[in-house]
Amino acid sequence: MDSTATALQGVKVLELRARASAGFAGRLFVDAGAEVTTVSVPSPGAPSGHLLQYLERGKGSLAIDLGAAGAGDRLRSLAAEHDLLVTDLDPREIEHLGLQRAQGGRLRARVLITPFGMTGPYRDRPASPATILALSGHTFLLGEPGEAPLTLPGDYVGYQSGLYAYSAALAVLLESRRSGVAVARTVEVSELEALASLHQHTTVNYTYSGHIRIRKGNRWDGIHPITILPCADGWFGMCIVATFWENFARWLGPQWLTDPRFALVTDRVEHADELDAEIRAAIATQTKVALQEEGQGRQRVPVGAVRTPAEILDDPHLRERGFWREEAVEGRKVIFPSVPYRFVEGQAPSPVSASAIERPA
Amino acid sequence: MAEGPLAGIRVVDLTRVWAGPLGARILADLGAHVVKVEAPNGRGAARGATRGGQFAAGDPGDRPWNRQGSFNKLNRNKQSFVLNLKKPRAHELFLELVAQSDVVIENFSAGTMDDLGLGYQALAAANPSIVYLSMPGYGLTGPYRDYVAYGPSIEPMTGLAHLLGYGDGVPRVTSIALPDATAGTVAASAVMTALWRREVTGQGAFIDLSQHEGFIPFFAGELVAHQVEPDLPPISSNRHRVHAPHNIYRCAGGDDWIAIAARSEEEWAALSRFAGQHWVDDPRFATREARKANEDALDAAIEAWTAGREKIELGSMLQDAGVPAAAVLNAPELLSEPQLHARGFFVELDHPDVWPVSYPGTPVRIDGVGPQGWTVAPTLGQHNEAILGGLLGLSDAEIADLYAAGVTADRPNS
Repeated sequence: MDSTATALQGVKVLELRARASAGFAGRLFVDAGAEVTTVSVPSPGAPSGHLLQYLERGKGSLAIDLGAAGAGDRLRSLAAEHDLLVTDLDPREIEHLGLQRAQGGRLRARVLITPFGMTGPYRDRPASPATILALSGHTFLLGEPGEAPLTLPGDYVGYQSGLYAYSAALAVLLESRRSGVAVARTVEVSELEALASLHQHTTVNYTYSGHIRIRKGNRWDGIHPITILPCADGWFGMCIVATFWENFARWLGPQWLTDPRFALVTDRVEHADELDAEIRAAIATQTKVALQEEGQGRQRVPVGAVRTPAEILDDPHLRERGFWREEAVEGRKVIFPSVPYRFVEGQAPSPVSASAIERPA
Repeated sequence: MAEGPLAGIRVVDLTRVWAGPLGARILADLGAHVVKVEAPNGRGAARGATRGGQFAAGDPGDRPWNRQGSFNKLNRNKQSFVLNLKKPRAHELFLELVAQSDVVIENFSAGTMDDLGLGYQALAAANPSIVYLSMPGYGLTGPYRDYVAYGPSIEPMTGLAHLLGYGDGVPRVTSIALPDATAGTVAASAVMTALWRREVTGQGAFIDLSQHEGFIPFFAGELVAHQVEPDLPPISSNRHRVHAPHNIYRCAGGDDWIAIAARSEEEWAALSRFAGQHWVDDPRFATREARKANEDALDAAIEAWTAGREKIELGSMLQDAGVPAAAVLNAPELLSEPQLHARGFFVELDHPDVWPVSYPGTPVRIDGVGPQGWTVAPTLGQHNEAILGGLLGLSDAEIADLYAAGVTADRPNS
């Protein structure tokens, strides 16, 4: 077991889960070595099927009927036996159960992940990952122009909200340990705000220059070629920002370097259809892996094969890095993603006394 | 500097573009003192000053390196310290800074810091308890270790493209570089994990973060499904494999849409009731299974109803009726979204080279308190004196010598 999986040893988390967001946060805690106990609550948005299998791995579970008399007292009492309470119940339920008042014992943070936050006019409105993606400005940017925009498969909203919640919860836990102040604080994460905070330049394009980003299918806004195109056995991806254009063109079409249609970034955007046709012709007879190996290995340009789900599960890089965790599901071996970072072993100096760590002024 | 639970934690931020600056910004928003160590060029990937569309008013002005929207959005609550790490004196100063810090984050290609002589071993020699996060595209090991990587080139390699689309078997990419956004939030989580362990054990950390891996967990359920049912047919990613209706529907206007997702019989009944269409009485739509079997007809019926309606008003009314629904918003609509405004999510920050601009804030509130003490993104080298003089104890004359020698700068040297 690598030390990433024991980093949070001794930390106890109570996951009160009605949707996937708390489940993703709990997943991160388990993967870093915390002890997570889940109370699963039926709800229209409750994770199910294979997502649930992924989220539940390695967690303990308790059955508590939230409708039973004294459920709030029991949950608050249980929370006091944990360092963190992480929940994604809706705000009314949180208040009904008095979870925002949970305190005492070892509890240091009440982490409340809700669709819209604990305040505001939409506080009690229903939401799903698809509606949060729509409202946060993401959906508008995905898909083909002229066709319906696309939402994302899986649960991007839950994952990102869970990540924010995880970091903020640990920040509060760390603060408590460093300060010696043993009170529980409330950490609130709004899923809508989580997604609205994660655009690269959607809002600043508008506030800085009045430009409204629109969806462009498999093309990037303002730079080309950043796209995927068909090759002999599938599709091939490329991200040819200006820095890499010369190497890319020397590799696949040296004549493009003297073609005025492709001279500047703005020219390549203007003549994107023509450039795509030339690239398609250049890669049509080559396999995507051969293109990837040549493009990355020899030409040093940011390209890659468009992997199918089966191919990503068998990807040699991820296998070598030990990214997958194998477990039995429904009588067959299945692999799940593990935590996407790890502590590099064998290079760290000996621990110094924690109390000896110098504090910045 | 922002107020927050990470007060007293100092982060050295060497990152560029999106993923790394986002990770460091999350830590800054939580109260960490983040010192952005920048090269003295202010161009290209560092401050993005080669992309005209993101300059304030489309005008690079006299100091384009300070007028780039994405940079200014991603680097609030940080200080800017320019160091030319190709110079030996800069190495000494950098290591002195590391000695007084808790965290170093970089998103260079694998091995770049080692090539500079500033890899983990060098930093740990200066500060044994340092938490050092390296976040190249594909991590520090494995066959793709040296691959050149940007979010849009990583995404096709994750398997998502075959799950995203209209169900026609044609792969789609997001074209908004989402692997950067996940790498940023994963980076913050990795640093917090290591800081907690350090607090308990005294052990520093060398963290290897792969942006490629960071993108995959949100569709883990789909990857498991493809193992259990290898012949799973492609579906429109706007549809749910279990629930219906679940789609994006056209509304009145040119490019106006609404997302509707009914995940239970109660939500379906609420939609039918609100629409006044008696859909629940139609045997084709009576049960979840029937709706999935007749999903084309179901979606057509719903779109016939939504097509003449205004998306924002409809979304709001459907939510009030208990139906998960929301207008598909573009940038100006997002910037005027009522819930976000009511909660003070957007934060106006005044930049000396731009003007007061509303930037997206943080989704995290602690004890109900919003942003406190936030500062706009720094101009290039704005805090050179504060770091060199205040933190590292150099005299004014020594600082002047550093400017003269090109070790530091407050405007690009090329």
